[in-house]
Amino acid sequence: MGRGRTDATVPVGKGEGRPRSALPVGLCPVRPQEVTAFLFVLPAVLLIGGLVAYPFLYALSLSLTSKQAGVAAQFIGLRNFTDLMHGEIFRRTVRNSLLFTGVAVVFKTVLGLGLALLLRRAARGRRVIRGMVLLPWVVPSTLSVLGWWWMFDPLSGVVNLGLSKLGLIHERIPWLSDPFWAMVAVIIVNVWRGLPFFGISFLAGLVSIPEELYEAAQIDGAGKVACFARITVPMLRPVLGVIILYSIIMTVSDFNIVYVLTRGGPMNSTHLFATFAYEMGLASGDIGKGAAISLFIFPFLAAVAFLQLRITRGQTQ
Amino acid sequence: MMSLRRHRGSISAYAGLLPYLGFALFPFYWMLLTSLRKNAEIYDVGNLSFLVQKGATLQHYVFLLTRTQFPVWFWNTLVVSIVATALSVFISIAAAYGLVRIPFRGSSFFSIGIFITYLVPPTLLFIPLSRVVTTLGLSDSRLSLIVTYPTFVVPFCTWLLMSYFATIPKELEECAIVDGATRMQVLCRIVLPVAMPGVVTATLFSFTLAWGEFIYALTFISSGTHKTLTAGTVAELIRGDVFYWGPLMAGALLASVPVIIAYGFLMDYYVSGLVAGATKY
Amino acid sequence: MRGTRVWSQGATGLFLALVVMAVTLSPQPGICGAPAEVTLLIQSHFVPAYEQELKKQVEAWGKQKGVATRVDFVSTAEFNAKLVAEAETKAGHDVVVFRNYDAALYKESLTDLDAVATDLGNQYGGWLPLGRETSFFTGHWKVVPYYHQSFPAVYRLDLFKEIGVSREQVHNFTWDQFLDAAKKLQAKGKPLGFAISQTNDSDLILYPLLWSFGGSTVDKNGRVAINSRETAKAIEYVKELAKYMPREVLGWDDASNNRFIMSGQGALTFNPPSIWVVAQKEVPDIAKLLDHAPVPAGPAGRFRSTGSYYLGIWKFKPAQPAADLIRFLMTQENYKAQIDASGGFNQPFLKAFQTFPVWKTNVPLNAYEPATENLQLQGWPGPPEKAAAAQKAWVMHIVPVMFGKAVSGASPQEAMRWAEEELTQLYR
Repeated sequence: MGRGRTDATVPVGKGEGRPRSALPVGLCPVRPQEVTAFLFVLPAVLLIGGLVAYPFLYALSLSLTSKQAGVAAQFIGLRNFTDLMHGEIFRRTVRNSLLFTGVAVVFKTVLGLGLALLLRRAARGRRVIRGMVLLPWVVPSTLSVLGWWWMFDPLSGVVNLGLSKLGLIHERIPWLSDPFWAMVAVIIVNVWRGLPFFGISFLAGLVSIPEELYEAAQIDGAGKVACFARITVPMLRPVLGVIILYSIIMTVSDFNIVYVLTRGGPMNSTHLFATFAYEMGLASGDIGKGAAISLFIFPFLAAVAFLQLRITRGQTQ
Repeated sequence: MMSLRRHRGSISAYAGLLPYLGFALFPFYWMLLTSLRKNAEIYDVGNLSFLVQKGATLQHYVFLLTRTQFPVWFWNTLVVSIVATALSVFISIAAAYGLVRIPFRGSSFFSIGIFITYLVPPTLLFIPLSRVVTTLGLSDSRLSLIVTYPTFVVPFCTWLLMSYFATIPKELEECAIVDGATRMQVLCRIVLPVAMPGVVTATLFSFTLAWGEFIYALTFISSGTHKTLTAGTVAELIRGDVFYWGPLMAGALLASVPVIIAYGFLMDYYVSGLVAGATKY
Repeated sequence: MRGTRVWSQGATGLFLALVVMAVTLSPQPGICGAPAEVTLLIQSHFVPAYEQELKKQVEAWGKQKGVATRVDFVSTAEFNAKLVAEAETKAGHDVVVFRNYDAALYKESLTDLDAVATDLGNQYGGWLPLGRETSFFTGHWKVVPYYHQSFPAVYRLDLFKEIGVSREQVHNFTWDQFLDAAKKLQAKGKPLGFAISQTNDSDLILYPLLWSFGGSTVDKNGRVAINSRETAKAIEYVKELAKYMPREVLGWDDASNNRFIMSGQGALTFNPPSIWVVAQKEVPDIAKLLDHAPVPAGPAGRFRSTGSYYLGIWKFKPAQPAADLIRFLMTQENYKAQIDASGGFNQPFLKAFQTFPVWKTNVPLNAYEPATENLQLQGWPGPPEKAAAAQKAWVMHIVPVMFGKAVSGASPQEAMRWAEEELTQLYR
C-alpha cells in the first residue's frame, strides 16, 4: 500500500519547484501538494464519511437501545448483546456463520486454484471459456439462487433426479429440510457463486509469475509438485491474501443465498448474521437488536483483516 | 517432443475444465429449460427430463416483456449501474492516485479507513442509510441508488487501483511534472492510459455489483416505475406463495445479458487488470 | 498525447451527461413543498385482477377529489423492511396496508381512525371480534380492518373418496380422524402434508393445532404457558402424524405446499385458495377435484388462523384526504368489486359483507367464508399489550421450530423447554 511513498519524491505542486523540506513531516506547514492530495481524496472521504461512517455510528448507537421501529429509542446499554448471547438461536447463528464461511472459503480457494491452473493451460477459446466460467458470479444472485432453489426442491428438483440417475443415491436427499443437508446446500450455492471470482483472480496471479522461475526450477530437476509448492504458492500469496480476505468478508455477511434458499432454516440451522439480523431487525421491527446482531460481524472481520494484512505485508517485504 | 507434451497437457486441461464448466453452467441450462417450458410441464413432477418435452414456448418471455414492467426495470438498472459505476470509478481513481502518488500527512490513516469501510456490510447500514437518503430528499428516486452504490464499490476499487498505480514507474510522471504539468494532467494523460486494464477491472467489478444489488434497491425505492431488476422481479413475480416460475427464470436470464456482454468484450482487460492490481502491492 | 486528451475529455463529458440524465429522469417527490398526491402501499396480491381493481378504484377516487394517486405493490416477504424504513425515516406512503400485529407494533406512529372505524362498523353490521382486537389499542382504533385470508384445509375430493371418506366427513374432521386418513393416504402413495418449518404457512396451521389441543404460547395475562401437558399432547400428535407426511415438510417454504397439490402428488394441505385459483388456470384437471374444508377439531375446540390486513395512515402524513380514501374503498359497492376481483380470496371483517354471493356460488369456497372455526391470530390468547412479542414469536417461527425439533427426534419436554426459553426472552 503506497509503497512508492518511501522513495524520495520530486518537487511537485502547481508549477512550483521547491525542493522537499528536510523537516520531519509532522512539523511542516501545509504544503501545496497536500492540498492537491486532499482534493484528490476528498470525494472518497465525503462518500465514506457521509454514507458509511455516519450510518455505521448510527447503527452502533441503535444497538445500544431498545429501538422498535416507529417508537422512540431507549438507551439500554449492552443488554441487546447480552440477551443475544444467552439466546440459543444466536449462538446457533454464530456457529453457522463460522462453519459456512470456513468451509465455503476453503473450497473456493482449493477449487479456485485448480480452476486457475487449468484455465492457464487451456489457451484456445480462452475468452469464451473464461466468460462461461464467470457466469455464476456475474449474474444477479437473487435471481440465480432462485434457480438453485428450484433445483433443490424435493418434489421437482433436478439435483436429486440427476444424482439418482447417476446411481449415486438411492433415496431422495432432503436438501432443504434437514439441518445438515441444508447447510451443505447453501455452501454449494455459495461456492458455485464465488468460485469464478477466485478462479479468475488466481489466474491473474498465475499469469504474472515469470516463466523463468519455472524454467530455472526445471533445469534444477524440480518436479511438478515441487514447482507448485516452492514457486507458485509463495508467488501467489499476495493474491491469496487479498482474495481470501475479501471472500471471508462477503461470505460471512452473505444474505441473498440463505435468504432465498432456506430463510435461515430448517430450525435455524442455516441462519447467518445477516439473515438473523434481518429477521430480528426488519421482520419484527426490533431495530436495536438487529443492529446488535450485524455488529457482531464487525470485530471478527476486523481481526481477520488485520491478520491478513500482517501476513501479506510481511510477505512482500 | 515438447510440442506433443504440451498438446497432451492442453487436452488434459480441457478435460479438467469440463466438470467446472458443467457445475457453473448447469443451473443456467436448467433455468433456460424452465423458461421455455409450458406451465403444465413445469408443474408436472412425474416426468422430469433434461429436455423440453411438451413443446417449447416463448410465452414466459412474452409475458415478462409485455405484461410486467420488466423493460422499465431493465432501463432503470442500466441507468443506475452505469452512472453509479462512472461515479465510483471516478472517485476511486482520484482517491487511489492521491493516496499513492502524493505523500501527505495522514494518508495511511485514510487508506486504512477506506479499507475498514468494506468490512461494514450493507445489511447493517441500510436502515440508517435510508434515513440519510430521505434527509437528502432522494427517497424513491434512482439517484438514491446512484449515490449509495459507490459505498460498497469504492473501497475495493480504490485498493485495486492503488496497487495498480504503484506499479507505474514514477519516472514517467516525474518527467511531466518537471516539465510543468499539474497532477491532474499527469493523471489523465500519463497514468490512466497506462493503467487502463486496472481501470477496466474496477469498472466491470463495480458494474457487476451495482447491477445485482438488492437490499438498497428494495428499501429505497417503492414506486413500480423506479424499481430495478432484482427488486422488481421479486416483487412482481413472487406473490405471497405463488411463484411465476416461467417468467421468473426468463427474467433471471434476461437480467444477466448486459453484464455478460460487458464481460465478453472486456474480458482480457479484466484479467490483466487483476494481474497488477491483486498481485503487486 | 492528443488521443488521450480527447479520451479524457470525452469521458468527462459522457460522465457529466449521464449524471444530468439520471437527475432529470428521477423525479424527486417531496422536494418542492407538500405533494398533492396520495399514495398507497400494499403487498403484492397473488391475484393480479385484484391489483388492477384496486388501482382502478384509487384512481377513480383521485379524480373525484382532484388529487394525484399512486398505488405501490411490494412483495410480502420484503414488506416488513419497507415498513421499518418508512416508520423510521418518517417518510413514505400516506395509506399503508398493515398486517397482523403491525398496528400494535407501530401504534405510536399511526393516526387515530376512530371516526372511520365506528362509522363503518355501524353501517355494515359490526366488526368481527378479531378485527377489533387487532386494531384497537390504547383506547383508539389505530387501523381499519381491511380483509383477511385464512387457512382452511384444501384437499382432493377424489383421493379422500378412494379411502372411503366423504366430503361431509372431511368437513367435520377431528384430528384423530385426520391421522387415520393420513395413514391411508400415505399407503396409497398420495400423502397429505403441511409445513413444519420456518415459514408463515407453518405457523398458520400449527398454532390452530396447538390451540385445539388446549395449548398456547401465552395465557391471557401474557405469561408464557407453552410448557404444559396440553402442548405435550399436541407435540406427540404431530410427531405421530409426521410419520405419514413427506419428510420434506421440515424444509417447506410458503410455495412448497402449493406445488405439492398442483403436481398431483398431495392429497391435502392447509392454505388459502391460492392453490385452487392458480390450479384452475395451470392444471385444471386437478382444480376440478379440489375443495376447502374447516380445520380439524381437537379436544379444546376448532380453530383457524389467518393473515389479516388493515388500512392505516402514518401520523407524519396528513390525515385528510387519506382517511377519505379509506372510506371510499370500504363502501359496499367498492368492497364487493374488490372481493369479486380477488376471486373470493379476500375475506371481510365486516359482518354485512360476509354474505356476498361469491363464496356461496363457488362450492369449493363454501367452507372458506364464513369461517366457522374460532378465528384467531398467533398471539391468542395473550393481551394486546403483548402484541409486539407475539409478532416476534411468529417472525422467528418459534412454534414451528418447536414442533420441528420434536419431529426430528427431540422429546416433547426438550422441545417445550427450548420454546419456553425463547418465548420468555420475547415476552419479558
